[in-house]
Amino acid sequence: MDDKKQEMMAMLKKLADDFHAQIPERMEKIISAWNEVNDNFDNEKQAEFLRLTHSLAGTSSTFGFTEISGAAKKLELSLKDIDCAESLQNNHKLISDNIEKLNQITQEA
Amino acid sequence: MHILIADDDEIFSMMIEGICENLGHTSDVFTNGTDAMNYVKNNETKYHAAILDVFMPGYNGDQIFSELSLQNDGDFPVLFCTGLTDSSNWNKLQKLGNVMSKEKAMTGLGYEVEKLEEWAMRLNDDNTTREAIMARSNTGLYIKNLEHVANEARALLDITDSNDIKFVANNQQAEERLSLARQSLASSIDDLNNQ
Repeated sequence: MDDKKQEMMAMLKKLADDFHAQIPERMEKIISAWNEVNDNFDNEKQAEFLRLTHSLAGTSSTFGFTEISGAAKKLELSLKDIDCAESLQNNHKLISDNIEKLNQITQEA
Repeated sequence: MHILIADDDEIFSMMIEGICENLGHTSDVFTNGTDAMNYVKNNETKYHAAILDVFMPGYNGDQIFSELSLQNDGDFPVLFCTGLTDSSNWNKLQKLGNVMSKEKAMTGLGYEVEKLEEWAMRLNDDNTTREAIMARSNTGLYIKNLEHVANEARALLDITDSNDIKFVANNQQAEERLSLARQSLASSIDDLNNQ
């Protein structure tokens, strides 16, 4: 294996390990964001909740964590049209279930 | 090339930076849309291409691209690297530039950077860009190495689910695309040599 290949191999492996180690913290942030929009809905909090979920969905797919990515995408989809407290309440159970499922999968990763 | 990278996921942006560096490119990395936009607006750094996330705090990737495009006479090599999957967003982005799913980034980014390089070469007449590209005429070889590395990295991660099948299929497609890309690159270099 040449030097460039070795360097790249080491970098990808390290980033994948770093990402794996970050998964619980990322999940905690998602749960915390969910609690915040639940307690007092505003568009900024909702945007952050969506961003955290979107980010987990995207990067987990990059590093091959397909189950996490799938569950995060499902959650992201359920958040897409939430733009007020009323729509949040209407979709509360669906979002809650999706978070629970995602949390369960991340704990097994 | 000197590449602007903007992605709000730090690990992902580090991966893009590392792959670009391994391919011989330099980059400036931003982890939110606001910093990237402010830098582009207030500095005279010459970028040859950009790799942008779409959904970011502050400004989205397409807004940053608009500014870069404005500063470069309406045409600028860009790759949108996104986790968005809906077709309406993809169609919109494809009208602006190249688009890649984050899911394929580890195996496909090298090839996409090569496409940006070809695009940049078509747009830039300055000798610095040409020399940089000429010096790396074995780009295809680097990319091939990258794919093997990605394969091995995935093996190390112990990926054993059905995604393996998709991954192999993607690799086969990538081999075919690589072959075409190598031919295209060789032809471009011949053109440059003949000028």
